[in-house]
Amino acid sequence: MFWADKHRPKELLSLDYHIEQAVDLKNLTKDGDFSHLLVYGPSGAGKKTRIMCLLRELYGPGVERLKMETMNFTTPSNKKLEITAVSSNYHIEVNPSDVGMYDRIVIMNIIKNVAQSQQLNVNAQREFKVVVVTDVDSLTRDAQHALRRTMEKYISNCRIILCAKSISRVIPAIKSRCLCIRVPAPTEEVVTDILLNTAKKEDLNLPLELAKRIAHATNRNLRRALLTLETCKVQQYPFSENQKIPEPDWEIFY
Amino acid sequence: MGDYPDPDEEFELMYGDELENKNKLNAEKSLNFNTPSGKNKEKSTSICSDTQQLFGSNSCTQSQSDHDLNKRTAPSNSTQGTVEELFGDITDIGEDLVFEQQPVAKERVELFNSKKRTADELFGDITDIGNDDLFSDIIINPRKKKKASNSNLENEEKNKRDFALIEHILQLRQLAKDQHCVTVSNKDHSTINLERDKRNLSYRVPKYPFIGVTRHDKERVYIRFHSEEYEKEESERVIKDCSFGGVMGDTFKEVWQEAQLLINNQMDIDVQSLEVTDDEISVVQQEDETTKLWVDLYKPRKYLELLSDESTNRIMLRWIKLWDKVVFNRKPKIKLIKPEDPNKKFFKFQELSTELDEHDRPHYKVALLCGPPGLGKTTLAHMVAKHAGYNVVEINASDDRSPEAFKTSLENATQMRSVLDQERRPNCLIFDEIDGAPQTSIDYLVKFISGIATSKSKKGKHQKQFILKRPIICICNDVYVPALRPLRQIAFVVNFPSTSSVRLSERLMEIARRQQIKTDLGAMLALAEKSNNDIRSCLSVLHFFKVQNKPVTLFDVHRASIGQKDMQKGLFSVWNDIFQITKTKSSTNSPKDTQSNNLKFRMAKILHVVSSFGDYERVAQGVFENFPRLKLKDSSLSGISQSLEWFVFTDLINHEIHSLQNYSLTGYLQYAFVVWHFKFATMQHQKLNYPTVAYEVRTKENRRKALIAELLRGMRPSVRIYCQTLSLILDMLPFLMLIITPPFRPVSLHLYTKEERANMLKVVHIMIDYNLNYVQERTPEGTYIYKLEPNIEELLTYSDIDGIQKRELSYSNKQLIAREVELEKMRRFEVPKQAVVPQKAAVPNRRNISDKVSVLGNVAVPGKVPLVVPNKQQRTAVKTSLEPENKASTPLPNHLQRLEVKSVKPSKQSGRIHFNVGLRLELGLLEINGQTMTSASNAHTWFSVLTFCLFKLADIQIGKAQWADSGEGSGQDMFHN
Repeated sequence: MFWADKHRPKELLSLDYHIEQAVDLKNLTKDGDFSHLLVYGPSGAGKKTRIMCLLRELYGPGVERLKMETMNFTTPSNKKLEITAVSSNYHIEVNPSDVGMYDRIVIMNIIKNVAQSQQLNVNAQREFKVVVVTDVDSLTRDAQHALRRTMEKYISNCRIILCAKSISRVIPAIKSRCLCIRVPAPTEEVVTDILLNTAKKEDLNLPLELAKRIAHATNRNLRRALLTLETCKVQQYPFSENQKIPEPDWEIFY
Repeated sequence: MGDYPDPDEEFELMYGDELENKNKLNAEKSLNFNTPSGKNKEKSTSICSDTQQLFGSNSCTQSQSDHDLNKRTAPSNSTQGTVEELFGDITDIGEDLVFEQQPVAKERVELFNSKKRTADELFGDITDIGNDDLFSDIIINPRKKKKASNSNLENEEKNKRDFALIEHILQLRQLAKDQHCVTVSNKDHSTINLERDKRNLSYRVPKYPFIGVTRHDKERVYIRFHSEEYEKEESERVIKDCSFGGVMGDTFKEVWQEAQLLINNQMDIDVQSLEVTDDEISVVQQEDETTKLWVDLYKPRKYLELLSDESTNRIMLRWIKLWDKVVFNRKPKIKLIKPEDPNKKFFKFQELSTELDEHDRPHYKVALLCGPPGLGKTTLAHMVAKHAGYNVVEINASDDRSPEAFKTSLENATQMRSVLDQERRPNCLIFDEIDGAPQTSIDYLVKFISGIATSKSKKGKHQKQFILKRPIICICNDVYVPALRPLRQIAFVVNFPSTSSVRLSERLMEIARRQQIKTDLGAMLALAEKSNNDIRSCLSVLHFFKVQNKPVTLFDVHRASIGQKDMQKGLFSVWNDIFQITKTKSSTNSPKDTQSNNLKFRMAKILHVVSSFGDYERVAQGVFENFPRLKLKDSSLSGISQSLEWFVFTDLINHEIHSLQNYSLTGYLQYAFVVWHFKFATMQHQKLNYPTVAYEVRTKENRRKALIAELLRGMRPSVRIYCQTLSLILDMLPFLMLIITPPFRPVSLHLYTKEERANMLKVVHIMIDYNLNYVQERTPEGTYIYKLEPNIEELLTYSDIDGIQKRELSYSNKQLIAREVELEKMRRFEVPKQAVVPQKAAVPNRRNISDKVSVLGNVAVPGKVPLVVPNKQQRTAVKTSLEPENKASTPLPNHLQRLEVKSVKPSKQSGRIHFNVGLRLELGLLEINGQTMTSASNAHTWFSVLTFCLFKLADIQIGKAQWADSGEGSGQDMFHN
C-alpha cells in the first residue's frame, strides 16, 4: 500500500488541512441529515478523502468494508453495458463516465435501484443511502439532466454526493440542487508539512529542503507529492537534499 | 360469306354497284339518241319503274315525273319524253328542282283535271303510286298518253300560257339534263339490263352470293355479289358491245376515259386521304423519334456501325463464332491462330484459344466484358450475338437476380428455346451489370458453367447431367468486384478500351447533321473528350443542345456542366488531385485563360472532385498525414500555418456535425480542400501514403482503455475508491512503476537484507493492491521474459524520450516477485477462511508452479524426485509462511543446506509415494505436491527453519529461483523423516 493510502486520514477531525471546512462537514452530519453535495476541487486536493471521512462520520467504520460490484445494464438499443461500482452497506460509488455516452442509463438505474429500496433497520442506520457519483464534470448533458430529476424524486431515501474537478461543466440545475463544497488544493507549506509528517511516521529522515522541492514540483497535488516521496525513497535512501525528483514520463514528454 | 362482310369488302361492293350503275347509265346514255322509238319508250319506262323500285325514289318525285311524262309527251316528241322519263327516274336529281316543279305541276294538274278526262284518269292512276298496279299502269299509260297528248296538244294551242310554262319547265329540265348528263337508255340494252337486274337483284334471299340492302321504305333487297373479275369482264363486254359513237358528240371511249378519270380522281382523293393518314403516321413516327432517346435512335444497327474498338469487336465475334460447332453444328470458319512471333504477343492483351473441348465447346464458356460505362459494351454484346444468329436473352440489374430467379432464367435461357420465334434461333444469354448481382447468384453461374458437379448435386441422379451449350456473355463495369472473382477465373475477360475520340466525334457530327444541329468537329471532339468518350453522355448532351435549338459551339461545350459524369474516383486520385496541379490542356481550354481563370478552374475542379467523393473525413485525414512529407518551398511556413487553421476549422465543423447532428454544416467542409490544394499543390507527382495514423491511434487507445479497465477491475476496493481513471493514469501509475521497480539485487530472496525483504514485501503488496503481476511470456527469439499483467508499461512509456534510463528488474527478480505475489494472494485469500479448504486454494498455485517448473526447472530437477505428500492431518498442519522464513533466513549459513540435501535422499528411497504424485511423475511432469503455503500466522517456526534450509538446497539444485516449490517438497520429506 502506498503511503498515500496508508496515511490517509480516516476521520474528519484528523484531516491535515482545511480544518474549518472539516468541522463544518462534521456539523453537517450532526443533524443526521444533509442535502446533496457537490464536492469539487483539483486533483489531489483531498475530495475523496473528505467524502469518505464524511461517510464514516455518518455510518461509522462500516463504510470501509468495501466490495466491488459489477452491474449490467441494457440500453434501449440493446447494447450491453457493464460497469463496476464500489459499494459498502451504506453507500455505492459509481463512475458513470466509464461507459461513455450511455452514462444516463447508469445514472438512472443505479439511483433508482438504491433509492427504491428502503433501509429496513432504521434504528441502526441512517434512513438514507448515499450514492457517490464521481467525474460528474465528464457526464453527458443527458445524464446530468436525468440526475436532476432523480435527485429531487428520491431525496427521502438517498443522498447523492457528486465529485467533480470543476463545476464549469456541471449544469446550473444540478449546482442549485446541491450544497457545493470546494476543496482547494493544499498550499505548498501544507504539503511540505504532510510530507515531513509522513516521513516521520515511516521512520525516515526527510530533509526539509527536499520536502519543499517535492511539494513545489508536484504542483500542490498531495497525492502526487506523497507518491513522489515514496518513489524518491525507493530510488535513493538516505535522502539527499538535492536528489533527483522523479517525474512522470508523460510530463517529461509533454 | 356472311351477311355482314367486313367494311372493306362492303365498300368495294357498294362501289362496284355504283360502278355498275354508272356503266349502265353510260350505256343508256350512249344508246339513247341512236334508236329512239316508241317501243323503246315503253321499255325505258319499265326500267324506270324498275330502277325506281330499286333505288326507292320518293313517291312525290315519282308522281311528279310521271305527271311530267304525261305532260311532256303531249307537246313534244317521244324522244324528249323518254328523256324526261329517265330524268324523272334518276332520283339523284336535286330535290330543290323537283320541289320547284311541284307547284307548277299542281297547276297543271288542275288544268288537266278541269279540261281532260284522260288526264283525270291518268292522274287518278298516278296518285295510286306505291301500289303494285302502278307498274302495269305505267306500262299502259304511254299508249293512252299518245292519245291524250294529241288532245293535249290541241288544248295547248288553246292555252298558250300553259304552254309557255311548260316551255319554261322544259328549259329547266334541259338545264338539269345538261348538269347531270342524263342519258336515255337504249331499248335493247335496257332489256339486257332488266334481265341483268333480274339476275342480280332479288326480294327474296337468293341462292347466289349477295349483299343485303334495305331500301328507304324498309324493303329488303338482295344484290348479287360478283367477283371483281366478273365485273371487269362485264364492263369490258359492255364496252365491246357498245362500240359506237359518243354521247353528245363525245365518243364512248372519251366518256369512258372521262369516267375513268373521274374514278381515278376519286381514287386519288381517297389515296390522298390515305396518304394523309400515312403522313400523320409518319408524323407520329417523327414525334416518336423526337421522344426517343438518341441513344436508342442512333444505336448501331449493323456490325460495321459499331463504334467500339475494332479489335475488341472482332475478338468478341470470334469467341461467339467458336460456339457454332456446338450450337449450329457447323464448323467454325475461324482460322486457327498461328503462333505468332513473340514480339507481337506482347501487344495482345488477350489470346483467345480456339481449341474446342470434348463437347465441341470453346475453352471459355463465358465472356466477361468489362469497362467504364457508355462505351457500348451492351451494344456490342447484342450486336455480336445477333450477328452470329442468336436470340438475345438479356438479364440486367432491373431484373430479379436473387439466386432462385437467376437459376430459373439461366436454365430457361440455356436449355429451352423460344417457341414463338419463327426462325427458332438459339438463345445467347447476356448478363448485364453483373457486378451488382449477389454473390450467390454469381457462384451459381460459375457452378453452372463449370457444369457437372452442380447438376448432379443439385438435381439428383435422375436428371441427366447438364452441359452448357449456349454462349453466355457477362457485362460489368468493375471486374475487380470481389463477387466476380470466381467468374473471372473461368471467363474470357475482354477489357473494353475506350473509343477513340476521333471516331466518336465523327459519329457525333453525323448525328448532328441528321438532326440539323449546327456544329463543328472541334466542338464534338471537345465534347467527346469531356465525357471521357462516353457515347451515351455525348448523345444526351447533343440531344439537350438540340432541344435548346441553337448551334453548338466549342464554348457551349466547355461551359456546359452537363456531360460530366459523377464518377467515383479512388481515394488516391482524389489526394493526387489535391496535391498536384494538373497541366491544363491548351487544346481544350479557351485561349483567354488567365491566371485567375486558372485558379477558378482549379478551385472548381477540387470542389467537384472532393464533393463527388464525399468522404471528407478520410480525404482530410489523408491530406493531413501526407502534407508534412511533401517537399514544400514555403520557408516561412505561413502557408502551412494557414492550412493548419483550416484543419482546425474542419475539425470544429466535424465535431459540430457529429455531436449535434447538424448536417447543414457539411457544405462548408469542402472548401478547406481548396485551401490545402492552393497551399500544397505542386506540379510534380507526389508520393502519397494511405493515412494509417488515425487508425493506429484509435486501436491503441482502445487497447489502453481495455488495459485500464482490466486494472481497475482487479484493484482492491479500498484502493480503488480513491483513484479515478484520470488521476490513476496521470498521478499514480508513473510513480507506481518506479516504486515497484526498486533496485533489487539479482539474487534470491534469502540473500536479501531485512530492508530489502521489507521492500520486496511492499512491492508485492502494492502489486496485489493494484492488480498487477508478472507473467511469463515467450519472445519470438525463444527466450522467456516476465511482463507486467496488465501491462501498464505500455501506458506509461514513451519511446521517443531519449536519455531516460528505464530501470528494469532482472528476470530473476521478476520471477521472485511473481512468485511472491501469487503466494501473497493466496495468503490473503486464506486469511478469512482460516485454512479450512487448503486444497482448493492450492490449485492455482500448483498449476502455476508446475507451469514454471515445466518450463524452467526440468533440467535442474529431473522429474524423478519422489515427493512425499503428508497425510491429511499433516497437510493441514503444514503452514509455511514467508515472513517467519525471512526472519529466520539470515542466520542460516550455507553449509547447512548441503547437509539437508543428503537428508533428502533417504526420503527418496523411502518410496512413500503418494498415488497422486506418482501419477504425475509418470506423466513426466515435475509435480510439486499441493501443499499449501498458507497463512503466516500459525507457522511453526522450527519447521520453517528446516524448510528454509531446503529452500537453499533447492536453490542450489535448480540454480534458479525455484526454491519455494522444490524446497517445500523436500521440506516435507524432511518432515516425514
